[in-house]
Amino acid sequence: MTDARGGPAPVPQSPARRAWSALRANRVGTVAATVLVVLYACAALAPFLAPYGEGEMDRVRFFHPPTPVRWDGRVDVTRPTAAGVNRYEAVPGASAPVRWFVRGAPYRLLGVIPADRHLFGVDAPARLYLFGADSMGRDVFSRLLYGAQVSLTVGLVGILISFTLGLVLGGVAGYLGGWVDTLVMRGAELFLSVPALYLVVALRAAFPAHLSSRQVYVAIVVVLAFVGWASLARVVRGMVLSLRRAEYVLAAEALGMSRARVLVRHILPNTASFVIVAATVAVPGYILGEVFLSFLGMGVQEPAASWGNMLGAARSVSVLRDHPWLLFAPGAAIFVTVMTFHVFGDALRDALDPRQGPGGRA
Amino acid sequence: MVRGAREVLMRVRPKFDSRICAAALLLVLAGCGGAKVARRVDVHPLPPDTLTMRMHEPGEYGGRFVVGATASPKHFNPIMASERPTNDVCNLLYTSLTDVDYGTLEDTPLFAKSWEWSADACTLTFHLRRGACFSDGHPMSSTDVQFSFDVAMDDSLGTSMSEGLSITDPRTGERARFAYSAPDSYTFRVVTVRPYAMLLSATSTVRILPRHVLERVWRAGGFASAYGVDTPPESLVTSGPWVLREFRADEKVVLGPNPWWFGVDARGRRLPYLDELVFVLAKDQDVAALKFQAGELDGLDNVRPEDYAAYAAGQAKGRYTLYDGGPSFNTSFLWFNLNPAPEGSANHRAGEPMVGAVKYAWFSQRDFRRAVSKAIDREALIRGPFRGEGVKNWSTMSPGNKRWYDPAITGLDFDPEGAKALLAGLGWKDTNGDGFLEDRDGRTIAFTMHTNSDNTMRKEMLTLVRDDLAKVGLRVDAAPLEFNTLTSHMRGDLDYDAILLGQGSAVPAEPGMGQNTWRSSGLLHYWHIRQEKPATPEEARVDALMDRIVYTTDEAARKAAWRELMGIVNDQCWIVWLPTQIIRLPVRSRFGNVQPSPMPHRILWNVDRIFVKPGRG
Repeated sequence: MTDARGGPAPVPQSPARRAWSALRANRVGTVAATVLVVLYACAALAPFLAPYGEGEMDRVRFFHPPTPVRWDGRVDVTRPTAAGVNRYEAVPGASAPVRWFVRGAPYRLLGVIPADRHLFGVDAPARLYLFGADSMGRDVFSRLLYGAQVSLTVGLVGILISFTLGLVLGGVAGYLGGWVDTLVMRGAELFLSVPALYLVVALRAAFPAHLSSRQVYVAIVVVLAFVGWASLARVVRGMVLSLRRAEYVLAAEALGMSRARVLVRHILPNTASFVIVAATVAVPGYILGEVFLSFLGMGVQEPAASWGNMLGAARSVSVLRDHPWLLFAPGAAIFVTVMTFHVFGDALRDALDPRQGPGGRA
Repeated sequence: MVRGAREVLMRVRPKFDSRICAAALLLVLAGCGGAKVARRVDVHPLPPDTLTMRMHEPGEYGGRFVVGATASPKHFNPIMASERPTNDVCNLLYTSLTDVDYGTLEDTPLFAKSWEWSADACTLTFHLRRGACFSDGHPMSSTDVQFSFDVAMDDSLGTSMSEGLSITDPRTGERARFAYSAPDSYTFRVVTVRPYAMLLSATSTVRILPRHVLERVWRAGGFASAYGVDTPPESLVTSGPWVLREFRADEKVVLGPNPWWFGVDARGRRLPYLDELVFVLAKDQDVAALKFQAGELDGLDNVRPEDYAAYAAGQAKGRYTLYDGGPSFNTSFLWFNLNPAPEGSANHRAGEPMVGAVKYAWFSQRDFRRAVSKAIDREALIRGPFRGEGVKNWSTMSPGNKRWYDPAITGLDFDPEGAKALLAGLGWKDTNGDGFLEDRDGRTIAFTMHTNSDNTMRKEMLTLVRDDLAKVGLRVDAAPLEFNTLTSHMRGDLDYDAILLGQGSAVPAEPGMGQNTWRSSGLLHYWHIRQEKPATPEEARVDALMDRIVYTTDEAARKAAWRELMGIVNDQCWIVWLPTQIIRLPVRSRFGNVQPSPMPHRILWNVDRIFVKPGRG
């Protein structure tokens, strides 16, 4: 077979391959994907990349502004001035070079490998505050990296749970129909009819007020996933309803396949393109959900860091006026992440669109 | 044609406008001049017994002062007043026998020009001011005072102050009311069953009401609703320096000077100086701050320490002065739960320690609590959460309390090595190398500490304290809780390990008001509330000292007892003290005699002496 232009026939591509090449061809999508990979890598390697520990306080420098790194790769040593409380000045003539692979607080890389090297740092008495220090002399840059571990994974784990729920319940409801369908769909509508924020707050209140930071993390993920499954289940049900009359489904049934197998092998995979895009676009919702809960003080508790509680700690006029870096650092991180997920989701949608020819948009 | 007409109009209008402006300007100038000429004239003669008020400098008449109030007063009946906005206004409208000078915290005369104690210290005789009058010109006498006490002690009204007008009779153990009488028109006498140190301040809570107006109402049973907000302002007869001029619900309250008031300045001129004192509704601190910045308010009585720097920087531009009110009377501290389980406790047998045997074994060690006190870097707390605006404090009588602060009362300050030594002395060692200590049975010393989650400063303090304690090997789980949940743990189910909290000051700010905190039977005896009988010999001693503080009228003896009491508390470290905040308040610079106090109402306590500086109106 030759195409209209008379060239050689293209190698037949699997849908996945076609989507991949379509995605690769989308410049914006590629950039977004790269940014996401970098962000997640930063979160995974946070203890190594962060010059200081998550809760490490500098009792001499509360609210230290960001320290600029000079053109020669050194930072000034600072000290409190007499001009006011929590104001700092450079000590004349004293500076320290930013060094690579310095020894510092011990940690376990990826939770396993014990190590004490940090990517970069400066020797005491200088302190390197790329994004400034917070109200307790903790490095905002380091806390941003540690906070990313919470804020970025909440989305992934959250969609894993809610999409499993949504796929299974939506699929079963659509495929089996009858009273199962009614039961599941009315249940989903119940969830959808309550305003999401109230539902989140109410569900959070169902957990004990005080939990350890790991338990809080689990609680947040569970709460957000619980709120998120319903809308997906509805869409999946609709797709399954139309797919169950498809010829290949009928053929599989005629061959005597069990209903569970038909659902898992033949029907659900056909919803994949939609589900993948929906999941990507849903992740920012989870990230913002964590921010929302932590902002209200119901999320990750001090001294553990998350972008939400960092933003929550910076919500006063005096911070905006005197210590704006406390607001901008987590704010920018959240903004960039959410934007990137949306852009990436968009690119993914284009790439997975079966109506689009090979090579993406004309 | 139409366009031409418009052009003409346009050309004409500027001239027209400028003429109006010029006229208005003239009027304004004339108005200013007129105000200077027609200065307030004191029409009524001064009484024989005037009261010369303590003040920085004598002032001039005129001007108005505007402050914010979080709510409108509910009524203008001082005996029925039970919440802050009503009290703030009523305290200005009605006088009492005596008062505390918020600047010096000494007792000062008001309607009573002097007072004396009987030899047995059970009778307090007040000599009243001659010639004092209510705002309608009706003379004030001892019968008005007696009437006010009658009403205040009227059980059918259920007033909030009646409880304070009685003491426990040592013979019967029952509450015994003060007896009172008016031997003649200018003498009033109060008798108690035993000497009572706070008798003067208790009697000063009774504001003096006009008997000639309200006695009929009271006898008819209508007192509780008398002097409501629907009373026409001019018919409200007051005894204090101010009268009501105007009331608009949820908007403003305007007070004016009482033309019969007996208070005068050093030159013998009748106070108050101001023509108007206005309370404008400002729902909360942030609204008040915005109104102040917009020039609608002349002063603020509550500012967060984190905003002090900004207020200090804006002084010249905003034409205000940031006054230093000194260290607050509100204190911050933490404590460990030593409560036994009450009867009917869910998970504990009655009498068992609420925290369980293991933690009780830690918390009940005096050296453990002392180590905690030594582990806390209070200077870092002052620099961080307090933004530098704090001082160390070791008792409920903070360094701001000029009358009761005792520099000899101190506690165990930051000494991490000392803390480690104390903990090592308990036989606690880090046996598993995780950086935290284990007790002799190998259990890691770990506990939870709560604070109220709505208070950012306390949450920051908790995070710092947690870090300090980790440095000496104690693992603290910081857990802010919602305030109501926290208080229900604190007083209700007693289910907590440790709490970091604060306490507001009582009025008057004196040790005798701390019975609920320091007595072993007290509801606010934080670490072990409502003891049937003192649990430890030290607490028995504290109870005995509290008796001396409350039932002795000799001030030197009371101060000595207070020093010994706090010495015991701080030696035991039942309460681990944290710093207290310095109060700073902005008030427009054009006002004179402004002297903010740490006690509320912080700027209005001497507003009868506040004046507009000449040439700055």
